[in-house]
This record gives sequence, structure tokens and C-alpha cells, in this order.
Amino acid sequence: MQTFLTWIYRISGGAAALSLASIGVIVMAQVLLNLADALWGAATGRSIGLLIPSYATFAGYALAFATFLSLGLAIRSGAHIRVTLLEQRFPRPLARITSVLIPLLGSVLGLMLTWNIGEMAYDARRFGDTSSGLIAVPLWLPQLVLLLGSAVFAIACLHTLVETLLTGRSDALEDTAGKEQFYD
Amino acid sequence: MTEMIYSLLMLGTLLLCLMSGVWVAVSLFMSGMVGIWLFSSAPVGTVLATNVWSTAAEWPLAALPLFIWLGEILFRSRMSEDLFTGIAPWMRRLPGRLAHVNIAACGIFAAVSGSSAATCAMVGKVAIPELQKRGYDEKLILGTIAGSGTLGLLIPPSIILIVYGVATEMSIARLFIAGVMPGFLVIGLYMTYVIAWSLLHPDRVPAPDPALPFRAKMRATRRLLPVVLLIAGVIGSIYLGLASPTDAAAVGVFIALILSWSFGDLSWSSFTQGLMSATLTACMIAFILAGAAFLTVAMGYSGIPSDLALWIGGMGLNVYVLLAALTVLFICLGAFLDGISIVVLTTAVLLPMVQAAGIDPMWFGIYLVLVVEMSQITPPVGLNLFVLQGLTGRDVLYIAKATLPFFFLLVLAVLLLVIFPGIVTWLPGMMFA
Repeated sequence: MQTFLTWIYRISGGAAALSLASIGVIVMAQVLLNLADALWGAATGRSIGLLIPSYATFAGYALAFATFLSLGLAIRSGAHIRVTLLEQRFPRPLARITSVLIPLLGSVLGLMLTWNIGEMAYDARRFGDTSSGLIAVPLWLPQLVLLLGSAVFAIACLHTLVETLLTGRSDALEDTAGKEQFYD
Repeated sequence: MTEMIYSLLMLGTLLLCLMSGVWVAVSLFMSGMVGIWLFSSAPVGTVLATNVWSTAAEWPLAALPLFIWLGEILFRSRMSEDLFTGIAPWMRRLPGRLAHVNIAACGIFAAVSGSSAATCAMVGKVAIPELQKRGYDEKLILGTIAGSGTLGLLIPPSIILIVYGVATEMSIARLFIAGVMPGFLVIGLYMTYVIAWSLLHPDRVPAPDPALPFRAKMRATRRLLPVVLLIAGVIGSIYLGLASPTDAAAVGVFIALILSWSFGDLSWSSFTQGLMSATLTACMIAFILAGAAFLTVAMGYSGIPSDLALWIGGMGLNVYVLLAALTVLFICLGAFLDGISIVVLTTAVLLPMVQAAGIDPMWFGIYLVLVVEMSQITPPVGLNLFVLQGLTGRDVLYIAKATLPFFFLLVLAVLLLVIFPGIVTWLPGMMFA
């Protein structure tokens, strides 16, 4: 079970990393097209308007995918920041309570996100909503990816909740201060 | 009356969540849900989904993961050694000598990285052993690195200014350019302090090395040149309006990959490590931003920010008094909250008040970054202090004491910005549209 869950976080996180890289590729490609266009324009006197259709929309989707698909892995590897200063000074019984409260609230948020994004995607599919712009993307497609990410996030929080309930602690809640956690 | 109790419930939820150690992003979402549930009849879940969907896929925010990735690539490259060997020959004649290398190296790395702690770690890992070997005062070494590391937040590209720009819907390009002059100001203050300190304590600075001829200096700097060109390209293209910050970031990543490949330190494992690390960091920040956007909707229903603005406006408070009070508030918040959380909470709650007081939001962004910089070097939660603790094994309080003069220099910088707001607004005003 543990290894199965770890695989889910890893696959989802890997897909997130791919999305992040693809933001770079999409934007870079458009910059190169702009450059080619400018050179062509300077040489011939008229530009042809080379363009990746809806590229800002696609880069935006890739960003949303990168964020949501890595939510679960980030929870499990302690990448999400939280205030640990007071926690270290809590008396034991209180620390026991917060160790359950933290993943419990995370799970509530995860389940709410999953349910409501699911509903939104279902409505988008039913009503045939599409994005505005040159390429009309059916909105339920990107929303489905967010739904998957939210679900993995909910699973990661529930996983942590079960751990703290059974053993009183979880690796996901270990203090990460001083580790290679740079961008706060 | 009920309004008052509801407001207290909402803010109480936020404080209680944060203090119990709930993830910052989740805390923001939780108090947002409580707020919407109390103050409006809108279905909480539907507002949640539509709000998350509309903020997660924003184009200006795409600059954020790219700049984080750019920093990660260079962090894993040979650049930290090049920074030291490239700058050291030029600083030999200044009083304080190689202590200035710390400041200049942090300034340069800050211009490729948006993070204070990464800047601190990057420069510290090479400079600390080198300077200790040469017999420099340990407090001076630690103080200059911790203090200058905070430049990462101010000198573009700055992660925290992207966060501020997205949260306030301001132009990130203009914010970036606004950070340039204050960045130079802080570097100038730091270097002046080091010169003055060295003149006062000649016994604690090692003897000067012989001066190098110009050509030898150039030879030592040659390897640093590509990185300096990369920086000039990224910031210059934004300033000239040739590229949006997102475009510049993508080109920067591409060139950084080529550079690090040509240096011979790009392997499959360093590539994936950098990418994965950037993904997780970007995820953390973007999720906090999503939580903050949701809380802002709830705040809008509650009317707390506009009430606050009316209240402060009604008091007819002097702008300087207001800024002094805010500075104290932010320094206190910074003692237990991180910079990004402070920025998003400020924009969600305090920005209407600040604007009502007649303060330029762009100037306020830079001011906020400077104050957040201070919180990076004050205990108990100062990330730069933790990084240096990890590098040297010294305890946090010792490092904090060594850094104290630089804290006061940042206070001085804030005072100068208040007296001469042109330091912030002049350069963006000159920008090509």
C-alpha cells in the first residue's frame, strides 16, 4: 500500500515537472517565432505574424497542471511551508492534537477541491464550455487534470492523517527548516 | 455587532490555523471558507472551484516557476566558484577587501535568482571557507553574507515581486525595474559600512594581497562573463520592453541550460533534480497564491479591508506614522511568518488601506520587500540564518548578532526610500512602454 501510494505521488509529480518544462518550451518556441518574424520583417519589409495559436492559454494550463499535479508530492515531501516555531514548544497532548488537526484540515480542503472541481468539470462537459481564443479547448479537459491533482492531494493528506492517528507522527510533517528549502 | 463577531471568527480561524502549524496555503483556504460561509449566501464549494480555476492558470504567473528553475540550474552549476574567483581580484584594494566579494557576489547571483536563502547558500558555500582560510573576521563574513543574501528578494528577477504583482494585478515588469535602484542603494550602504568598519578595525582585517595587473584581473573574470551577459539580457530585455518577464525567463532558462552544459556540469541527474526542486517550490508558492486569492474574495464579502481603510482614513493619520506602524507590524509578523505569506496577507487585507492613505502601490511593493528582507535575518525565523547555521555549524543567535548591523542598514534603506520615493519610481518611469 505504502509503495503504491508513493508511486502515485511520484508519477503525478513527474507529470507536473513535465508540465513545468513544457511552459519553458511553449514560451521559448513563441519567442523564436517572434524573432524569426522580426528578422523576416526586417529583410522583406512585411511580417508574416508567426504565432503559436493561444500560446498564453496553453502556458497558463501547463502552469496550472504543474501546480496541481505536484500538490500531493509536495505535501509528502514537506515542501509546503507552515509555521513550526510554536509547535516545537507545545506540550505533548496539544502537539498530539495539532498533528491530527493539520492533515485533517488538509484532507477537508482536498476533498472539497476534488468534489467541486469535479462538479465544475462535469458542468463544463455538459454545457460544452470552451476556452476563448484561436483554439477553442473544451474546458473539461484541463479541469480534469486539476481534478486528478486535487484527488492526489486529498490522498496525500488522508495518508498523512492515517499516519498521525496510528503512530502520532508523519515524515510529511517533519520540520524542514535549514534543509534545501530556499524559496520562501 | 454580528459583523464584528464574524470578522473576529474569520481572522481567528486564520491565526489559529497558522499558529497550530497548518500549512500556510491550507490556512488561507480555511479562513476563506469560514468567511464566505459567514458573510455571504454563495455556495462555498462553487466559489472555491471557480476561484481556484481562474487563478491557477494565469499567464503572468508562468514567470514564477521559470525564474525558480533558472535559479536552480545555476545553483547546480559551477557558478559559485566562478563568482568568487571572478570578483576577488577587483576588491583587493578596497578597505575591507574580500568581504566586499560577498556583497558583490550576492548582488550578481541575486540577479539570476529570486530567492534570498538560495543566494545566501550559493555564495556562502564557497566564500565562507575561502575567507576563513585567509583570516577574515568571522562575524564580518557571516554578517555580509546573511545581509547581502537578502538582495535576492529585491534585485530582479524577484520571486516575491512576482507574487506581489500577481496578487495586486500590477505589471511585474515595472515592479522588477523598480527594484533595481533600491538594490544598488542597499549594495552601496553595505559596502560603505564594510569600508568604515575596516578602517576602524585595521587589526581585524588581513594584510592586503599585492595588486594584480589589469590583464590578470580580466583573465580571472572571463569565466564570469557569460553569466553577467545572461543577467544583462534578461533584465535589459524586460526594461526595453522587448520581452515580458515570462518570455525573458524562458529564454533565461534555455541559455542557462546551454551554459551549464558547456561548463560540463549538466547531467541527467542534475537536470531532473533542478527541475523537480523547482516544481515543488513553484507548487508551494502557487498554492499559497491560490489560497490568498480565495481569501481575498472572502475578505471582499466581509468588508474588513475597506472598513480598515475607512477607519485609518478617518483618523487622518500622517503617512509617515502609518508607515512606521506598518514597519513594526511587519517586523513582528516576520518573526514567525515567511516573506511570501506576509506579502499575500498584506495584499488581501491591508492594500485598500494603504491606497486610501495615498501610498503608491508600486512603491509600497518595494518597501514591503525591504521589510521582508529584514525578517530574513531576524531570529527566531530567519531563513538566511538557518542557511548559514547549516553551512558553519554556528548557532542562530550568534549569526543573528553578526548580522545585526546589516539589519540596521536595511532600516536606513527603508528610511531613505520614504524620504526619496524617486529611488523607486524614477527608473520604471523611464521604461519603454
